[in-house]
Amino acid sequence: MSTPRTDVAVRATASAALLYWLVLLCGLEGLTIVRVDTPHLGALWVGSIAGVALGQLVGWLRVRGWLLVVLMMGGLWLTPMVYNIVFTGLDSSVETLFCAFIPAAICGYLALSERGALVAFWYPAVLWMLVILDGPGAFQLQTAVPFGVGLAALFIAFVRARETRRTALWRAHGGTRIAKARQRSVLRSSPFRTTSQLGWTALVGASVLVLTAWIAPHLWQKDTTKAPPRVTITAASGAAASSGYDDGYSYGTCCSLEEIEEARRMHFREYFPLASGQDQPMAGVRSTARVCEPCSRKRAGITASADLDRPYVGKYQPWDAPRYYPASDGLGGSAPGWDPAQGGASPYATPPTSAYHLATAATTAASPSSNVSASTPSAYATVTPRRDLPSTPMGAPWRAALLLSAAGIGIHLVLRAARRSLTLRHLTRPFWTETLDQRISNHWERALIGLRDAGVHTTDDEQPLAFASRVGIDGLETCATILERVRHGVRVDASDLDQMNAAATAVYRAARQRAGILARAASWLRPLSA
Amino acid sequence: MIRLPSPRHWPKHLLRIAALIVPSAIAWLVAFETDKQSDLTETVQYALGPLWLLLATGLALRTALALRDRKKLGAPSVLARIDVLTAGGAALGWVSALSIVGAVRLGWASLAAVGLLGAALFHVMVLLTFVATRGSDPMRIGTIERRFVPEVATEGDELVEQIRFASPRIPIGFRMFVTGRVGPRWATTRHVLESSEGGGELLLESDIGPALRGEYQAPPLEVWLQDTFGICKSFRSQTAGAPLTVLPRMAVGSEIPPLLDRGDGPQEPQPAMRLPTEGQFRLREYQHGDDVRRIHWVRSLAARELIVRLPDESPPDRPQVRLVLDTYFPEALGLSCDAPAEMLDSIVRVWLAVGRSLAESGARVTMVAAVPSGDGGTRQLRHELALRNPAAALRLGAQVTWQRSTIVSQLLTDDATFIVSRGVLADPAQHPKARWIVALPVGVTEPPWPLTAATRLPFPMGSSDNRWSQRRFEGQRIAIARRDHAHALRMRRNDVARPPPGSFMAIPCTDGKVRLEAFR
Repeated sequence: MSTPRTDVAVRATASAALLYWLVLLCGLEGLTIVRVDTPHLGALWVGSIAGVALGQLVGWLRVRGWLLVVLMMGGLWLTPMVYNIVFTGLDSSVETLFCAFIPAAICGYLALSERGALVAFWYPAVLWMLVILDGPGAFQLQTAVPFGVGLAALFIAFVRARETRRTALWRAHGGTRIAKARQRSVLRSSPFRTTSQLGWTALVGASVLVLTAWIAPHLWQKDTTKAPPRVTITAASGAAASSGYDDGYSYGTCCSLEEIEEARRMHFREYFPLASGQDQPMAGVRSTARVCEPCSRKRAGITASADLDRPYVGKYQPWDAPRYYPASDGLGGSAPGWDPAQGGASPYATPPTSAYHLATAATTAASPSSNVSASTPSAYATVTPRRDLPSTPMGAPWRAALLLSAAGIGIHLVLRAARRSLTLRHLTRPFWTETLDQRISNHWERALIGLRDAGVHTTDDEQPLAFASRVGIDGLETCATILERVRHGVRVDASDLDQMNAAATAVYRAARQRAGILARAASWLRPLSA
Repeated sequence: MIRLPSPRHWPKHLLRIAALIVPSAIAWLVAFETDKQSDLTETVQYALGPLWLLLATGLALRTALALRDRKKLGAPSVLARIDVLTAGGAALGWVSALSIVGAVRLGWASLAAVGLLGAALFHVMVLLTFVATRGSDPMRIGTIERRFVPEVATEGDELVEQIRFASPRIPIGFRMFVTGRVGPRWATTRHVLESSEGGGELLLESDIGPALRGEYQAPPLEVWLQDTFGICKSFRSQTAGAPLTVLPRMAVGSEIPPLLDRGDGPQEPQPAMRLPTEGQFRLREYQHGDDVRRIHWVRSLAARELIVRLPDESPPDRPQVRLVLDTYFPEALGLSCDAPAEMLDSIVRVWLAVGRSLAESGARVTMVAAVPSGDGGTRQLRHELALRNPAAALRLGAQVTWQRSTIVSQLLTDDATFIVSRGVLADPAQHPKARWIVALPVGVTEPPWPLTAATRLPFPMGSSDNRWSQRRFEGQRIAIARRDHAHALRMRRNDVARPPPGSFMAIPCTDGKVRLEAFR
């Protein structure tokens, strides 16, 4: 089995760069799926792709690193002008583009270097970490696991491809004159070594993933920002008592009671700021009553007029309620002088004074930009103010894609086994009429397939008899002799064919017996030519 | 013979050995300073702590074994055995540690992920390498055979190196690297065997030609293991030297003036000047005009007619000539360029061409040269040049190298001698029968000196030959070679004298022939 060296070298040197692009594009694609309405996503794509392309182009041109450093230092003189143009004069998406372009270019350049694999992997890892940590509903372990496995697998593959590239370059380039490699003939090989190699790589990848998944989350740091409040609108008739706003008066179904839950948003720190995060509730829940004007008048007739003196009018905006809470009370504070347990309306929340207000509130609650929870009866609706990123269902497409990929691989292997079976059947008893010479050649090929199952290969220039003498399996010499006669034009007859058939069958069985049971099983999945 | 600056390896070994444990230690010291010490402490305690301890234990064990085996024959240095990291592996260790530090300081989650991926891979691979490359010989099971095809080549022929591996021990997850070359002027062969080829049988071939004159014992191949991620390696072992003989190509003389004064060659005898009464063996009938003093009267009586004696002839002229090759050039041994070897090749071609020309002219030619002996000195070898079978003379031509022990006067005898030399020494031997043939070393080539631009890497990015240490070493080598090249070209002129009368100048032609011109 001989392999042309040029093709191997080209494949080896190209695979590292291609794999890097795969990691990058997968990260960008995942980010696009998870955060499709993120502002400046296009700028992120353009900056990342242009940066990596430029970096790899510079690396391909063999430009030395020190020259790039000098150019960058020289470029610092232009920083004020660039800042004025980019960050103040143009759209802010240009800022995103630059923030992506510069590290992408550096990492793209280092992706081709000998020792910069880990640094080069950082930029794609940033994109992947955005997907892992910034999915819908913030970080969820179940959602993150497939991406973590993917990231670790691509990291292992990239490091290995980079080393394969270095090896190919080592064979082809050097300070001294390098001899031109000619033939590479595998005379005998172990049928399981390649599979073992893949298994070993997977084992190393799994170990790396476990260690990383164990420790890395402890190093993640969280930033805290004030989250938009969570507003719960409840039909006041049913909820008044539970909220402590029970003054013995029923508001009717047209009125509602509103609970505003404040939260702080925790999100992981990253190079590109994460848009979403995980909300954590704070100390209390504040309730506000939204009473329509007729009810308000009705209520005013029963209760003291002092209630009407509260500054209710014209300040209520249910989708923008947090604006009316004083900042001085901190994130968990409540309105001073108001205790929900004591009943009464909040001094800061203003009930709508007309049916229009209620209608507006209802429309807001039902709008697509709000997150309405329908887990409760229809009278109870939870309204979450619009967040920067809407949630996107993640499980289904990934799972389906994974299943499709697995099915594709399975079909490929099944077809390979079927092809082998058909080929062997044809070589033994041809499906159509063939000449005697061709049938003898078929039997020889069948013997070679069995020998390849056992890891024994022939070379291009090795004669059959020499091959038979090297291998030393009974019957192979008979096959080789008959084949030589055919090749040299000596007449053969049906008895030779029978003899060849018997000898080839014996060789096929003996070789597969020598290979062992596992190799025999694996041979059904092996390409016939390998 | 080439004198190259030898790089010091121990600082690199020490730095790489330090990279085994120091970066991790620094990273975790920094990590322990974070606010979340309890979580991290627990994780490190149960995750990376044992790994780090295993690594340190493995390192200590390896050190102890290396110290124990350091006096074994052929054992590598202790540092070389302990040092399992490649340059890329050391870089990975440091960068992953810096990433973890960055994750602690900056808080970017991606830095933590990248740093931990790198650190985990680093630790796993180092531990596996400790196990896989244990022992003093990583190649202890497999065999490597090396041969050259053809084993005896002629100068200029294409030469193929064959390396046959039988059951090489390549642990899973590793590659075997093989490199070697015949000599400084030869191409370097580089092969990589995958782990899937371990335990099998493999035949690798590479073109190393064109063949260069000489008799070589090719130095052993360097073999080492390196993991598929390029992080760890074994030490380099040496195996499979191989003999190779490249005979000089017999050049043809062109426009060779008659070097000898007598004889027209072996086929045409020349009548000797004899008295009329001399001559006994050639008889014929008397013809009109023959000298009557040549009549052989006894035979005439017996034959009953006049028979005359013809003068005797001298046998075909076959004078004895010694053709001495002057290889005394001690300065050449200290030069690190190809010029001296190329000069010698050129002179050997002249030497053989003159010998062939002399032999074709009927002389019995004895080729004489001083060749290196095994003890570092030289010994004088003589072989008669037979036109039909010049193998012995060619073999002698393959063996000669520049030497510092034997000057040309030690090779002279009382026989007629031609001395083929690069120049007449300033104090030539005053020998009445020695004549000089000065070979002009026109075969000296100007190497390309592959100095690259300062702004571009000499090789594609990612090549290990781009390393600063390699480039520095290569720069030094080229600088020395250039200096020596100029020095060699000067030396071929500054220690010679004007050739004495009767000397010749040999000029190799571009078509491979040699032309001789007499000094006027």
